[in-house]
Order: sequence, then C-alpha cells, then structure tokens
Amino acid sequence: MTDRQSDGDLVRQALAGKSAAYGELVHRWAARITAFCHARVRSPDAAEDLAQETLLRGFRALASLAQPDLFGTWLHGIALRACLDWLKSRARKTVPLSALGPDGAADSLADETSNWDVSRVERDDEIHRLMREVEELPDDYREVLMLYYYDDVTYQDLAAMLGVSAATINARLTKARAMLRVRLSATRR
Amino acid sequence: MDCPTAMNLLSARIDGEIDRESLIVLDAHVAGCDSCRVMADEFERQDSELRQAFAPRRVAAAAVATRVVCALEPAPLRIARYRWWGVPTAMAAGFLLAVVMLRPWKAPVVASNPPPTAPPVTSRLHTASDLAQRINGALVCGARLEAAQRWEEDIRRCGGECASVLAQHVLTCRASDRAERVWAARILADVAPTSSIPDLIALVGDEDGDVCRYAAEALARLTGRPHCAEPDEWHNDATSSCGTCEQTWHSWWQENKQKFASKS
Repeated sequence: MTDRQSDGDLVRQALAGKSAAYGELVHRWAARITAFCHARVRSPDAAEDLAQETLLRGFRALASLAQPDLFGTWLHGIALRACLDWLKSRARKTVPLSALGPDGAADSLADETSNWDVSRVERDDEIHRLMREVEELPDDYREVLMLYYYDDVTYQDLAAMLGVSAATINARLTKARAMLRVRLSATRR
Repeated sequence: MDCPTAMNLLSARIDGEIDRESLIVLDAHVAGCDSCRVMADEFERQDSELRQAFAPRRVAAAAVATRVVCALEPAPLRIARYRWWGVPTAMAAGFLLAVVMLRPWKAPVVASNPPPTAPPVTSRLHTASDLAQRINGALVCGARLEAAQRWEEDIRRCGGECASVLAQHVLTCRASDRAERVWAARILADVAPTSSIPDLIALVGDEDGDVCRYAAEALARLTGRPHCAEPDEWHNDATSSCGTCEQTWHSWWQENKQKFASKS
C-alpha cells in the first residue's frame, strides 16, 4: 500500500486554497496530457503549449469540477477542446510542417551536413523517422502508444483513462507495434 | 496457443504486464515457433528504440509541469523602477507642501531640519538564493529574455548559486529558446563553479555550437585543461566537435571527479 493521495483529495485541497496540491496534480498528469495532445495534433511543440494551456485552464476552472475524483477525465475534456480549437485555427492559417516531405528537407540540408558526425546524424534520423511513423498511426493506436511511452503508466491506468478494458489496451499496443514494424521495415528497405 | 495470442502476450511481456502462468505458456510457444521468436526480438528492439525516441518528449513534458507549477505561484517581484515623471512630480509635490506649511510670505524662514531627499534610484540588492529563485522563475515561466537580462550583473556577482539554475535551464529548455540558452551559457562560461562540471560536460555535447563553446570555456577555466576545439570550429563543425569533446571530457571526469569532490 502507498500513501499516495487520490486525485479527488488533491482537488479538494487545491479548492481549499492549497496551490501546492494542484502542483502535485500537474506533475501527475502533465505527461499524459502532453501525450494526449501530441496524439491529437501530431506536433510535439504544439502539444507542449496545449498541455500547458490545459493545465492552467484546469486550475482556473477547478471550482466547476463537480466530481473531484474524475479530475483526469475532466482534464482530458479540456485538453480535447484545446486541441480541436488549435486544429481548427491551424486549418484556417497554415500548411502543417508534417506536410513537407522528407526529400525537400534532405536536399536543403545536404551541404550543411556533409561534415557531421555520420553515426549521430543517422541515429537522429532513425529516431525522427520512428516518431513520424508513430504520428501517422491510426488514432486509437497512436493515442495508446504515445500515452504509454510518455509516462510510466500501467494498462489499468490507461484503461481507466480511455474507458476501455486492460485487454483492449494490450490489443491496441500490440497492433500499434505490429503496424510500426511493417511500416519501418518498408521504409528501411 | 496460436500466434496472434502469442503476439499479444509478447507485447504484455515487454510492458511487464504478463502473469506467471501466461509467461510459461508463451515461452513454450516461442521456443517452438520461429516467426514468434523473430517477432519477440523485433518487439524488444522496437521497444528500446521507442523509449529512446520518447526520452526527449518525457523531459519536455516534465518541463511543461514545471512551467505550470511556476505560473501558479505569485509572480516574481519586479525590481523597483521609477517612471520618468516620478521624480519631478514628487519634487514638485514636496515643494508645494513645503510652501503651504512654511508660508514664507508670513515670516522669515529658519532652517531647522535638513531638506527632504529623494529615495535612491537604484535596484535593491538581492541575496544569492533570492536571485536564483527569481532567475528560475523568469526563465522557467517563459518570461522573455530581457526580463532575465536585467539581472545579469547581479547574477555575475552571485556566481555559483545562480549557475546551477542557469545550467538546468540550458539543459532542459527547448532548442527554439536559443537566445535564452546562449545567454545563460555565456554567463556560465564566466561564473560556473566546480560543482557545475557535470552539467557543463553535458552541455559540451549540446547541438548548439555556441552553447558547446561556452560550456567548453567554462570547463577550461575550471580545470586548466586546454580547449578541445578552436572557437570557429564550434560554428563550422558543431556536431562533430561537440560530440568528440563531450566524450573526451566525460572520460576525463570519470578519472578526476574524486579530486573535485574532495575540493567541494
């Protein structure tokens, strides 16, 4: 048994004026919210900003949370709205960076990288390619994979968060890994 | 056991979510199934790559938490500054008050008290820990560079205590915050104490050539060892210079850290 306080207890303390209690909630949920936003908007930088905005909005609106024990679900609702707003404004304004093909980027950098540490560049390139494939997975698989690797969470935690069974989490993670394996082997060929 | 079931269990095994009985059945299946053995190896390799790929994302998420927590706390105090019209207005008000109270047209003035003086127009001095806290707030909370730059002189005076805050900032903040990182690294080059050596070695491997160069300067100053690259090389060949230097310094530190630990 651990003496870890529940989300509900921390919410009640925060509402009583103890901002450190909300700080604890922030540390507990930041990675999952950032992962959730990353999975939704497929941009790591935007995900950080959106997660920050979500956590601050949550603090300001905490008094409106009717069931403190459902803090995580409530926070995900705020994150989802923030992501949808961002996607809408993005669709109106700009072309996503992810729409730029890897070939163009490689051409423009070719001269600059001629003297770089080759093994390091190759390793970074592999990591970027892997992350790009993760970002291209179908929604359900991308979401569960990102939530899992952003934070040390159990299947049970993920199941509670997404409202599915632990067996479904296992099945989605397996499918995500299998899809990644196929996609990466195709690009490495 | 069929192969699709085995695949789910392989995934659960990687995640530490498999029970003992299932593990025994899985091992028995994998021992006799070539395709599942290949799959098991590939899943494990992929898991390791995913952990590596997500490591910077985890750091970034932790930094998000820090920024939010920082924003929950009261805003850092601002250094007292006077508006341009403040001093003349106060002098005029003082003059009028003196005229009304002393009534010079009624009786000769006998000076009994020294004239009032304006408060000094200087920033108040910070204690080292107070300043370190403020710098931390200013940088982590996403305030702009100029807010922190106002304290540069004080930071340089306070030295070591602020150095660890600056080093942590450079290590954790995003590459897009380049101006802040280079500014902090430049100060570290001059003020970092020996306790910052491990942080500086990590910074020597930074992707930003200027950050590498300043970290290397700090290390050379603290240890008396020569630079491992000329200043121009950091710009022209940042990636290889940084990587090579980091390895060199890392090996050196493994052999010499005892010496520095006993000093501090």
